[in-house]
Amino acid sequence: MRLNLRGKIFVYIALPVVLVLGGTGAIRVKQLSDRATDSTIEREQTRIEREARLLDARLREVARIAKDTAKFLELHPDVEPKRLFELVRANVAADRLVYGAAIAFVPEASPTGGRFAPYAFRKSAEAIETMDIGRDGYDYTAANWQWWHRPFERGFGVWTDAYLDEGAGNVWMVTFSAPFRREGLPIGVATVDVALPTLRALVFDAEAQRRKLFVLGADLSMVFAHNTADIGTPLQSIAQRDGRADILELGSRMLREAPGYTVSRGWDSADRQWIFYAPVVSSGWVLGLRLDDRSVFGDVRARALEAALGLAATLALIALGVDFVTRRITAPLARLDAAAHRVAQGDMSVDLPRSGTDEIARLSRTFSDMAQALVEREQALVTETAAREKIETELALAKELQRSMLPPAEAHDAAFGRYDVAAVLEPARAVGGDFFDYVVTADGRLVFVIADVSDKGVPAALFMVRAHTLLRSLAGRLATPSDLLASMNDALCADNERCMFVTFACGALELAGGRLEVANAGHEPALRVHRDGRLAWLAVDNGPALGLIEGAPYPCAEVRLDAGDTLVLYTDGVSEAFDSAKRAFGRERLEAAVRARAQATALELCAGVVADVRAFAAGAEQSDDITLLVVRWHGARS
Amino acid sequence: MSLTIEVDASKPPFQRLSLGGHLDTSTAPALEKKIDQVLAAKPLAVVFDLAALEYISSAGLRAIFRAQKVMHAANGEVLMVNMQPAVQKVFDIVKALPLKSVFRSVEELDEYLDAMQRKVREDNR
Repeated sequence: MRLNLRGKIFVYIALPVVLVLGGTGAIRVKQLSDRATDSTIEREQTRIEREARLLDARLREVARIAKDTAKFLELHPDVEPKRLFELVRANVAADRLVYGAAIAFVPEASPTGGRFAPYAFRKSAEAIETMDIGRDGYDYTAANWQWWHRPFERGFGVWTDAYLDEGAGNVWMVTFSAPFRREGLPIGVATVDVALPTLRALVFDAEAQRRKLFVLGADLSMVFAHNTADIGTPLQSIAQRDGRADILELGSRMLREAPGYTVSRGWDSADRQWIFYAPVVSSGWVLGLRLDDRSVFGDVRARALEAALGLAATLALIALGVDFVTRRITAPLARLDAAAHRVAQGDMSVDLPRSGTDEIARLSRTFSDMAQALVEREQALVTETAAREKIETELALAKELQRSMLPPAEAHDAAFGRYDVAAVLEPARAVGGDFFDYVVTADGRLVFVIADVSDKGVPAALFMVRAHTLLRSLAGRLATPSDLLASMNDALCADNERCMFVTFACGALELAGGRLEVANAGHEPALRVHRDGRLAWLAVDNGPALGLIEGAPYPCAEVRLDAGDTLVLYTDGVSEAFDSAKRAFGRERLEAAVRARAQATALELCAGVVADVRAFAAGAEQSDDITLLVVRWHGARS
Repeated sequence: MSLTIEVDASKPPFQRLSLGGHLDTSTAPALEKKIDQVLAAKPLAVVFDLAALEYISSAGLRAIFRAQKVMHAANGEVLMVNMQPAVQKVFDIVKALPLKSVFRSVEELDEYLDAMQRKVREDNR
């Protein structure tokens, strides 16, 4: 995942906090919820068991009445029949739960010699009525009356299943029936009836009554139910009616396994429903309580949800806080980043806040200053470049001007073919201090000079102009090279505080006869090349370089050239051209370069030697102006 | 290539400059500056010890000639000692040094300087 810095800080801080807090919080909520659930289940289970015991105790109390009556009749077999009516009336009055009570005799052993069953029941809230149910054609010995048959079958007092008493009051009821004997043989039963519709009201307290209590009889029919209409209904019918086979199965399990609880789809709602159940031992029933999930655990769930929401809110608050903090921290960085991007694009208008003392604030200020410095640097560069361009332009003009002061690089004697002159001048910088010149005088001499001003560059160039101008003004008037040099020296010595000087060689060749006069002011000697390739250095008694010693003499040497002889004059830019190993070109290499081209034209010789120098110094910086002047005399042709 | 300049002013009224390396266009300005400082002390003679000087260009010559010119104007002298052959050749070509100002060895130079000092003392007497 690609995250920016803000995202990373957020994730690194918020994620662990949210995970740890959220994790522990969720576990805690879950534990609380589970504990509440468990305690709720336990509470409900305890309650249903208590209710079941209560019901059981009440049923035992009621049953006790019938049992005591049976015991009494066994001890007093000869009670008058009339007294028996009083007895059953007293039995009904004994307990509000008792709806009716009877003493029924086996017909063969009855005081009347037929079916005889004194019976009392509550006709209304106040009135108890008695009657002999045996007399009204009511055959209680018929096979369907459990209260008659079941005690005889079992041999002890027993509860019937729920049944509808059509005879007495059309009431669903259960009956406890206890047998009594004479001389070991059962001769009748004493019974008490409990009307099921009143059971709820008489046994359970107000809170329990509001709940969906139900009692399931051992015969899998409803002894009573929340819905009164279901009283006496077999569970199978209910299961069929509701299309819920599982209800029947559940009923069997309840009877088998009580006490316990189970949870399943509700009987009368789509919600989940909890059923807590406990046994009612004496009657073989099971007391059940149906609770909607929401009503049992609504509170628990609500509290859990509340806790979860609280947790979520806390986490959200933390996330918001971290987000706010990271935003605050990284916002200046983002601005800085954007500014840097703009600067990179060339937009220098950086507008970053200058307040604050932290690292980012300092960085922002530094960056602003840097951008500002960059702007200034750029402006300075533009100015500087303009200035340099101006200087370069001026230097180029100066170079052009300086070059225009020199005669052509090649000259021939057009009329008589007596001489060739060739020259090369390559300044080390734009302008330089070397120069050469030649002129044919009116008396038929070729006067040529080569000169090298001390140092390089503009100062040398200015001094060169001075020397050259001096030369031009004096050359025509003075008879010999000696005079020329002496005059120039004196002129250049004046006003020369910086001690600029110029080495200077001058030759004057009589074209008609080949007589050469040479004078030298501190310059390299000239090289004479014979037509056959022999070389000779012209030995001249040097004077000092021009401009240094006022009044110095410059002796003249006189040489007679042979036709075809060549003179090579050069400046120290040639002899002291260095290669990259700092070796100088030197006179030996110069001699070799010249000797190899003894037969070539003056121009070819000149260019060739310069090419050799260039090749020798290949790669190394040119340290001085390179000047070469070649003069060839072809003899006095006519 | 660089130029080394050592100034020895321990024996007034003489100033001795020992040069080493290359004296050319790029290094001459530094020497000129140093020479100006030395001349400001108004010495009787300025000695250039060129034992370690390997190369001198016309710009270097000019710096030394300038010192010579100023010294001569003040009746002083510029003296050279321990000149190496390559440097000697350059001076020879330009030919602007008085012969008596060049000494082959320090002993010869010191002798000359001693004589010079004696002469000054006598003149002052």
